[in-house]
Amino acid sequence: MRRIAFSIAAALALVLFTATTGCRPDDTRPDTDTTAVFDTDTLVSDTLGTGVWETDTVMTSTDTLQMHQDMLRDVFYGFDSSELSAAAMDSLMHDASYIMANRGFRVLLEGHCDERGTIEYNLALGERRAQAAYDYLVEYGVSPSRLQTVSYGKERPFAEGHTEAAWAKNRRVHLRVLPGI
Amino acid sequence: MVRKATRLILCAALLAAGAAAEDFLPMTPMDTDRVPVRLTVEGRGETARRAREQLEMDVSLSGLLREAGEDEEYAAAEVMVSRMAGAVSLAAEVRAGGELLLDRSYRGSSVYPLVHALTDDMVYVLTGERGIASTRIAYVCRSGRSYSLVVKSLDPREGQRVLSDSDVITTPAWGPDGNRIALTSYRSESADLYLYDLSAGRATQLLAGGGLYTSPAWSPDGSSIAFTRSRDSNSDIYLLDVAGGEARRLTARPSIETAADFSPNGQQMIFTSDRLGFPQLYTMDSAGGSAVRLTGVHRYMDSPAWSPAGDRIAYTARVGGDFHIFVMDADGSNVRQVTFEGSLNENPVWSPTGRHLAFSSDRGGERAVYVLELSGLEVIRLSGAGECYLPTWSPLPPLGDERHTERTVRR
Repeated sequence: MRRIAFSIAAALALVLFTATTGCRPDDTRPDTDTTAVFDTDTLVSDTLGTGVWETDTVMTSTDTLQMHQDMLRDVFYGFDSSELSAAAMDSLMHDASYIMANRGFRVLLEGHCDERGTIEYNLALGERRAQAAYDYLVEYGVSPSRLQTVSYGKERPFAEGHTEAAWAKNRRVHLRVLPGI
Repeated sequence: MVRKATRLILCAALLAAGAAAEDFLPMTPMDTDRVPVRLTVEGRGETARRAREQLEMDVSLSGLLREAGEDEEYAAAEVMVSRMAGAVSLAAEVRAGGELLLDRSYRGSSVYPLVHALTDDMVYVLTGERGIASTRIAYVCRSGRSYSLVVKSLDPREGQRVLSDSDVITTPAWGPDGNRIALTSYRSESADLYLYDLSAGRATQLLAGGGLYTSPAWSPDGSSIAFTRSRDSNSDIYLLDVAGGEARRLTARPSIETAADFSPNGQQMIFTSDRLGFPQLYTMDSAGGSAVRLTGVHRYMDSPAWSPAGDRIAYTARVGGDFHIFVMDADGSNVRQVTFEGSLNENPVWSPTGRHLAFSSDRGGERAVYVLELSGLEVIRLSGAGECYLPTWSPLPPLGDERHTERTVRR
């Protein structure tokens, strides 16, 4: 029942979207050295991603979302830092390619911190981490319309415990798959 | 003649209490400045035992009274505890120097609010100051992915889970009207501001969309809320009229500005900013404008709280690898550490009388909420089992003739 309701909602969303824009969105955007100003969300640039059938997007099920979720890699950060390490960039490159090659979902970039910082400052720091991942993905070519950021600070840790191992797991940007285009 | 002498003694004792209030934050305990009270609780059974224990705790936590020793007697409280038809009744007489200062009975279903009301009355007649025994503290508790807003009275009764969710609840702030708590909820995949109405038992959305909204702080008159908006890697402080309307931006810098708190007259704000590359405390006019850094003593400072008298600021700072609570004068001078145990002490909030701080600490293993009485540096654990943090203190119940002539206390 829920799946049918969801399919109807997704179909409606697609119809609405087609009616308002007339074409499907593209994950790519112009190179940064292009001088003209473009609406980066709707323009098709010369670097093309893998094509998919529009009907594919209607069939998004929770199973499919879970499959996408399993394919994405989280990004880890150093203590008190929102800088991307080489390993973090590798993960994000993989994520960017995957997001651009597959449709029917959006990604919420959740910034997380370890407990060795204060709650309020960490809430703001987590936003910086999420934004660093966001900037990298968009720079790589992912459409901003498929991304969203949020910071959880240290309010929703992945690993419980008070060891460096737990802290390292909690200094991350988690890529959470959401239903969408 | 005897009465006159009694009055003189009473005056002297009140002056002593007043002098103690001038500097109630020493580095060493100064219990000798408290008014000694002999406590006599009569009555049978479990209820009388609880009343006795709670009265001792309330007196000790008041910071203004203490239980008298064997050979000293200035004031005496005699309390008769009885139980009739499911109701508890306390009949109390408080005398100082032989003079009857309080003769009142309290009746209700639970013994604890009655003892709190009695203690606050006793504090008032013996020192002229308000007590905090009847106030409550709200905080966030987390168990895995389950979050609750809990309201706790200052006694062994279990805290009431007034709001629960499977997503993050954070940064609660008890409003000056006593009935509303502003908080941040992540229930819509973002951080939005909500107002929880305690009497209606309902949380309503106040602000959502266009960023993350955290760390609400009420203006002292309750008309507006300062909060942090985070978006595009930047966090700034905004001001919202609670009655409605557009939020106004108060800070506009690329650095993080957060954790605002108002001065008690509402004209200034203190907040955290990392414009130097690390979080420090700044004050500014509540209308916005230029900010002044308060102190450079610590490299990492956050969660400032302005005392109700306006004279002090409590905050969290990193010392070594640990976090502790500090108190300084409002001009940034006279920095004093007030927690020494655990490695993560955070989010101090003042009691409405400014004699206590509530904060969270991991000194007992998991994070829990503690209350610190500042004149004796006495600490009690407030929250029960489970991870609890981010305390916010209720305002004082209104002081009026009605409350002090009311002979029956209900809850």
